[in-house]
Amino acid sequence: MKEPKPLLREGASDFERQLLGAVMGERPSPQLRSRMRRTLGLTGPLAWASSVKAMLMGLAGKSALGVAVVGLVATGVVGVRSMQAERDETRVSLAPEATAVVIERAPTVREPVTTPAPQKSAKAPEQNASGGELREEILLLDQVRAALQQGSAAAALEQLDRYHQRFPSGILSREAALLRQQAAARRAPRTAR
Amino acid sequence: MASATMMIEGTVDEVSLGARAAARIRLERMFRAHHELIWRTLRRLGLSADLAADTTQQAYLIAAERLGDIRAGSERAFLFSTAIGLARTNFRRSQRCQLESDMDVHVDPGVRAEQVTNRCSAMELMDRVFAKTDPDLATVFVLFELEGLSAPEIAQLVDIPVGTVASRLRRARATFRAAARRMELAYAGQLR
Repeated sequence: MKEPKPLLREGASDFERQLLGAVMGERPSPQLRSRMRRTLGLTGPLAWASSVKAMLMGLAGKSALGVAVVGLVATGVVGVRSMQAERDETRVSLAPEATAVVIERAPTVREPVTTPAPQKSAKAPEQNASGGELREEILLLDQVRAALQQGSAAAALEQLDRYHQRFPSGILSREAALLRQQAAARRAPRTAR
Repeated sequence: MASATMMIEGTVDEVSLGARAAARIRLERMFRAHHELIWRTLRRLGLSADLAADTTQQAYLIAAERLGDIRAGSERAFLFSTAIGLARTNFRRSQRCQLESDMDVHVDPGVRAEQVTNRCSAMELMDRVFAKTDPDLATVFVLFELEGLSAPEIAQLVDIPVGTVASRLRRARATFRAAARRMELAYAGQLR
């Protein structure tokens, strides 16, 4: 069977061409794009890199930062390249409720878009990460980072306690654990004196 | 001793961070590669720009939750079918841009047909066309005519046989061309 050619290439009238051509270039506005990225925690390579750098400062100290950055980048690259293997073995997943079945298509979604939780589940609210909850997790951890940047480890730990109370097994709990280490490391020298 | 324990914990956490960083990188790539296609398709299905962004975002949040379950190479199909599923269950028709019932023949006096797109109304006219088109037909039309996907690609994405893609495309084209013709004639009539 011969595949038809798109109207724009063959057979469209001038008017049809104008209609089709006008909507082809439509894109989300920078504001909408930025909003989507923020909600998804995709704050851009630079912001993300600085966030990772802040975490490493707490873990390895300034003198070992260069080595740690190289290590992390290598870990990330290996992580990306070995994702298929990881999927087969360790099932790397952001979702605690992920099943062991590899799926190619999305599940049928019945909830309206305005409903925060996309899939009904009897699990604890913190495990049923909706957009609003993920957003709240991101905001809480942003506050932790802000406290650390201001040099207030105690405030960061308080925020982390709030985070863990609100999300005992949140999607970003591992990042929270790293931030806690960082905050604890910053507070330790003062208590040792 | 304490520092040794901390170092071990740190190593474990760094490995975890590596896996999470890889997941985030994958999500970032998925966002860059596919969000415009999904947003644009939702727009053509009648969602406002804001609602299309919310729905796109919701599809990505679901993908983030199930990232480990999405086979490499199936990201677009997962995101697309999730977004379409969300849009279908949404109050799409009621959320369409507030269009008049006879919009396809309601025109601005004095506007020549060839000036339509220059007056930034082509998008609105396309909304009018698709407001009266079956969403299944509109989806195939958008993917083929506007996004440049082939019939087999659409079949995989929408999960229908290639033959069904062809028949939906034929019907969608007929609908589009009839509506475009009515609009064009209506504008021409304004000039008489």
